This record gives sequence, C-alpha cells and structure tokens, in this order.
Amino acid sequence: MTGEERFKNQNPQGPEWDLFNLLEGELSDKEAEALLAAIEDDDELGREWEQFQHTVLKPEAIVYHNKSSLIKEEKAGIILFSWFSKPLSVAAAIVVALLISVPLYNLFKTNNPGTITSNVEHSNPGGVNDSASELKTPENQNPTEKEWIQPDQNSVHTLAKKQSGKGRFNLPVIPDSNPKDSVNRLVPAEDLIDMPERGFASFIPLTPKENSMELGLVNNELGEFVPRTQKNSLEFYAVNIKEKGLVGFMGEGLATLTDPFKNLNVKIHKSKDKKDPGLRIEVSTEQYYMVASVHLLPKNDRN
Amino acid sequence: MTTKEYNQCVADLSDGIFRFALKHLRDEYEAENVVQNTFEKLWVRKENVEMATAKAFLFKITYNNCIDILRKSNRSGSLEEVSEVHYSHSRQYSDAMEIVKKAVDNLPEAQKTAVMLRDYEGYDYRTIGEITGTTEAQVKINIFRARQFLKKYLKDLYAVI
Repeated sequence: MTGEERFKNQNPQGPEWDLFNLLEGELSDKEAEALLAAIEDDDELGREWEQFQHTVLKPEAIVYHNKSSLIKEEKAGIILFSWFSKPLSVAAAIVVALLISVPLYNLFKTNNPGTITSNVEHSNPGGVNDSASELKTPENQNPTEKEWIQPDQNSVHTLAKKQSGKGRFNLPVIPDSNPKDSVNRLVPAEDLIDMPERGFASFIPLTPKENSMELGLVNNELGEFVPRTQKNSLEFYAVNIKEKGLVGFMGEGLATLTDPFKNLNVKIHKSKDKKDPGLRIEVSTEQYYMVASVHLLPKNDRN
Repeated sequence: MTTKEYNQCVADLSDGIFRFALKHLRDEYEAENVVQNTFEKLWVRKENVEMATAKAFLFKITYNNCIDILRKSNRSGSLEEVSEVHYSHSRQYSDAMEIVKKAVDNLPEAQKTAVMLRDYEGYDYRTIGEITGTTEAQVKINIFRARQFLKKYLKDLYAVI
C-alpha cells in the first residue's frame, strides 16, 4: 500500500484536499505529521505535494510610481501660526496673505477679468466688513460687483453662494456617484477637509448636498478654536471647482494651483469696521476659488 | 485617521493595491485609475476609517472597482475558458513561478481575488470574505479550486515539456 493510498484510507475526501489544508496550515499537528509521513513514503504523493507548494504566489516587485500624487500635505502652515503670539500671528497672516495673493495676481492677471466663470458674490465675512469696500489692486483690474457673472444654480461652478446674513460660504455640491457605492455618496463637508488635531475649523451642514464652513486660527495663548467672528482669526481655503472638492488651506491650497490660470481675479476687501478691522482676499480662476480673511486685532486689545 | 496616517497608507499599501488592480485588469492605465480612485475614497472617508482597518477598506474598494470595470468590459475569466491555447503559450516560461503567474490570469475572478489576497497580502479567510462579500467557506473553496487549477496547469505543462 502506497503512502497516498494509506492517507486516502484515512481521509475519504482524497489527498488533494488534505494537501491543500496542509499547505494552508489548516491541519492539526497530528494530521500534518501523518500526512507528511505519507508524503515521505510515496513518491507520487511527494510530487503532488511539491506541485501544490508551487501554487503559492510569490509577491512580485510591482511598484506604484505615482505615490506623490496621492500624498496629502499636513497642515503645517496653519499650525505654524499657532506658534506665534496673538499680534505676531495676525501680522504673519496678513503678510502671508498679501505675499501670496498679490504676486499671484501679477503673475496670472488677465486683461479680461470680467469673464470669470465662478459666481463669487461679494463677501460678507462675519464680523469683518459688513460695510466692506474693495481695495484697489495693482493696475486697478478688479471687476466691480456687476462684472461678476451671476450664479448658475445648476452649474458645478456654483460655489460661493453667500448664505444671507450669516457670512458663510457654501461648498460646491457633491454629486452622487455610483448609487451602489455607499462610500462616496453624499459626502459631508467634514470628510472633505482635514481637521488638524488641534482643530481650527468647524463645519455647519446645511442640507445633505450643501455645506458651509468657516475656518479660524488656533489661538496659541488660549489654545482653542477662534471662530471667524472673533478677533485674531484667519481663514483661508481653496476649492477646485472642476473637481468639486476642497483643495486645502493656506500653502497647500496655493501649492496645488499649478494649472494654467485663466480669467484670474483678485478682490481685496478692507473692513471699515474699526472695532473689527481686517482684510478679505478672494482669488478665483476658472478652476479655483480661494479666499483668505484676516481679522486684525484692535490696538487696544494688543499685548 | 489623520493625514499622517493616510500618507502612511499611501506609502505602505499603494504598491499592493496597484498590483492587485493590475493583476485583475491587466491594464496599467486602468489599474492606476483604480489606485487613484481608491485612495481618493479613503481620503474622503478618512475620519471614519481606523488605521487598523484601512488596508481591508482599500482592498474592498479596489476589488469593487475592478469587478465593476471587468463587468462593464465583459472581461472576467472562467475556469471553462481555459483552453489548450493557454497551455501552449506557457511553454516559453522556464520556471514554475513564471508559469503560475501566467496561469493566475486564467482563473475566474473570485478565485484569483481569493488566492491573491491570501498569498500576496496574507489575509485570513474571514478578512478575504469581508473584502469580497463571501463566506469563509466560499473563500476556502475558491482558494482550493484556484490551487487545484494551478497545480493541474503546472502538471500538464510539465507533461507536455
């Protein structure tokens, strides 16, 4: 009697199933020992076992070379500000905002600013500039409010519909994807935005498809979220209109703006509210919409 | 999951996800799209995905993506489709590993998925079942049949050679 026959006699399901279970580590020690003894005794069973062992796939060195496109930047820029004291953080925010927006304007400005396709309305950043007026940007290229194309409610470009009286901006509509795909359905705003551990953003869902958000700066001294409506806060975010998703904050958002800019517009608003002075900078292209608001700390509150 | 953890997933798992998609789709461009789509979904859902379950989450998304693509293009293989043509093509391969790699392409998708997740990723039957939406018993049977087929493929080829 061969080893295989002996083993067959012990297990009516046949040797293949047992060899498979041996390979998978599914046999008890005793069963494995018996089968290995049978394999030892029988050349044919030994060959079967050898062939079974070859069916285990060996990992191949396949490398995905485009990892960098998947990597998301951590929000170092925002955290950086939290290292500063109050006045310094505000000053730094202003400097950064101006440094990034004016060169962008100069670099990408167009002679046809009125053709912008996003429907950015005149902003009303809560507590900043209910009576805001535009500052003149270089060469006075800013369009007036009337020059901004009116919102198309059904367009993916619908982005910055101001929620009346609340000074908040709605994010673009997040479309339903494959109905079978429960992962990407009705993505809430929270999922679009990376909140750093210390927290500097809050989100107010309005409807399942329409979300608003407000961002603020972490106050290093108080160690807590500073809402936009308070002093010494900074908000800045960028949205990829075509992709209908948030790009990021601060440097990350700007760093992503590498596509050719078309119809770029920059609007800078200055608050006339002496109790809550600040700047609001809006940068928009066909593809992106960015906004930065800087709230200045009133002199009498400064350290 | 934090951004740092998400990036760690990219670093650790994107190769495996790409390999998994590539093996199923046999199209580099499509596989790259699947990887992008899969990690985008992880990013969108990262607040709700724990680091410990991220790998299974990614493979599940990848698996569903691949199945959708294969169904749309009607490319899924079946055991019955394996013909002598496949065997004859394999003569050029000189070692068992190369032959098995080629033979895997001829497995039905369910068996291919199960055996790849088992061997490449080291998953147990339960996790594979969670990814593919099947029972542990079905997973085990799929892996058994896959190995049976691969063994027969090897055996027949060696007989020809």
